[in-house]
Amino acid sequence: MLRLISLAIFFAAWQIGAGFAGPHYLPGPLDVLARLGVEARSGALFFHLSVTLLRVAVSFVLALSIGAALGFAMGRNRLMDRLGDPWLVVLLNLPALVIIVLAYVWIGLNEVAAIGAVALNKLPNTLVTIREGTRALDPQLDEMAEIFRFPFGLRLRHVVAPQLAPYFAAAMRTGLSLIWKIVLIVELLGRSNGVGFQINVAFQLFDMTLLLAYALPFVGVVLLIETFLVRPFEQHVSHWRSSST
Amino acid sequence: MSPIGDRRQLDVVVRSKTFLGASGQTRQVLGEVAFALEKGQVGALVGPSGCGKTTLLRIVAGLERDYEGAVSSPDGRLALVFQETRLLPWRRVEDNVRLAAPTIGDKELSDLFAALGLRDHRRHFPRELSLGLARRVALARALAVHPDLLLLDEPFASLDSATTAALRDKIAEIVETRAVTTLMVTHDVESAVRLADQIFVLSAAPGRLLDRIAISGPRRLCEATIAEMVARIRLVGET
Repeated sequence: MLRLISLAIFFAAWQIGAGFAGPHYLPGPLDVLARLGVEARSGALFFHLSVTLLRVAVSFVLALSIGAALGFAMGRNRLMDRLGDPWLVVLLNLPALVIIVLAYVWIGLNEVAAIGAVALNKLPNTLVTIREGTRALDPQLDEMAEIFRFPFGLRLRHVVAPQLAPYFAAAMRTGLSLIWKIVLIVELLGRSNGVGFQINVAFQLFDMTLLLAYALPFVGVVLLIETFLVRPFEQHVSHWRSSST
Repeated sequence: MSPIGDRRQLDVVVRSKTFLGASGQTRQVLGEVAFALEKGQVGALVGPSGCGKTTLLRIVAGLERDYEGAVSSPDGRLALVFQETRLLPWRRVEDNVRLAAPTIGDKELSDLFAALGLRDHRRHFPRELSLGLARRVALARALAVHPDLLLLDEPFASLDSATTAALRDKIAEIVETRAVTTLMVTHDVESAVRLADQIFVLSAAPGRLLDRIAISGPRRLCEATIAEMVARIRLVGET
């Protein structure tokens, strides 16, 4: 309910702002909605939206799985941590734009370069988060698992994973917010489809209505993912803290 | 650790155990300690705080491997009831036991919970239990694996006298019925006298064996004898 009220306030402020700025600089929500309908009926909106979401999904899964595996290994193994740390510092501090341009130059203007660049931008954040989570694993529970001879899979699922779950959820949340922004830049710089590409077209034509007609549903989809995927996951992994019999 | 043959007794010989401090200096926590337990016997390690009792228990459990000496233990399952219980907080009581003993049957699990007074708590999460109940769950988990050697680290710490007596009686009953070799670390000398066949008194750090007191029929001692034994052990500890 509070989220709906918050959204209503946002749209009201937008409408008022549009009245002051004029339709050329900031078209009102109804104008954007009408344009959105036009783009949807032509099929263009769904095409570009799905292309972008696919890129987001693939980069998200890649960054999260590789980052989590490397973060776990570095958190557990001091040698790996020392070997990987300089690489990590470089990746953390390398601007996203540099990685994107280098990927396009070295690999070419293709999907591999685009998705690889996005995943590489997110990977170090996931790695650091999971590494910290791994370092914070309770050694007492490790000993318990050793005494009771928990097999590796059981130990990973019932001892390690629940302790890492809050860190994984944090990596998911920040990952989603970071990846969809970078995907738009990647599309803007070197792809011929996707929401980022369309926003670039709108920018070239100074068509603010078109720009917002693509930005708005994309933000909506991200909100839906956050509401129906990320938040339920967080609630699922922490239900034992609050549930009662 | 290695098997020691048909009698399946526990044989512990520790000459020294040191820890490396943060400043790089070594600190000796255990000196000469040697004792043995026959199958089904209960041994209790008593001594002042910091004398290395828990370290000795961890050596027996195989959790501390860097020490001088040798430990021979039964060739089978070992279970340790940790002082902090170490239950998985995200799993219910029943799951905590089943994860340690996946082959345990429903009836056996129900009987075990009934014997330990946990029948009404099997669906609870550990955070919903009192410390006394959590200790019982930890004990249930240890017993569910049918250990050949049961190790108990301060099973009565932070418990009130009534809970201590109830838990002690449960342990005594189960250990006697199953004839499981048991080694317990405790500050509670009275519980040690009531439960153990042999009591090993350690000195202050670095802990070395001061005295070995055999108690015949600990579960059948009269109150006057118990008080006398407790006084004697406390006297040994103070010398």
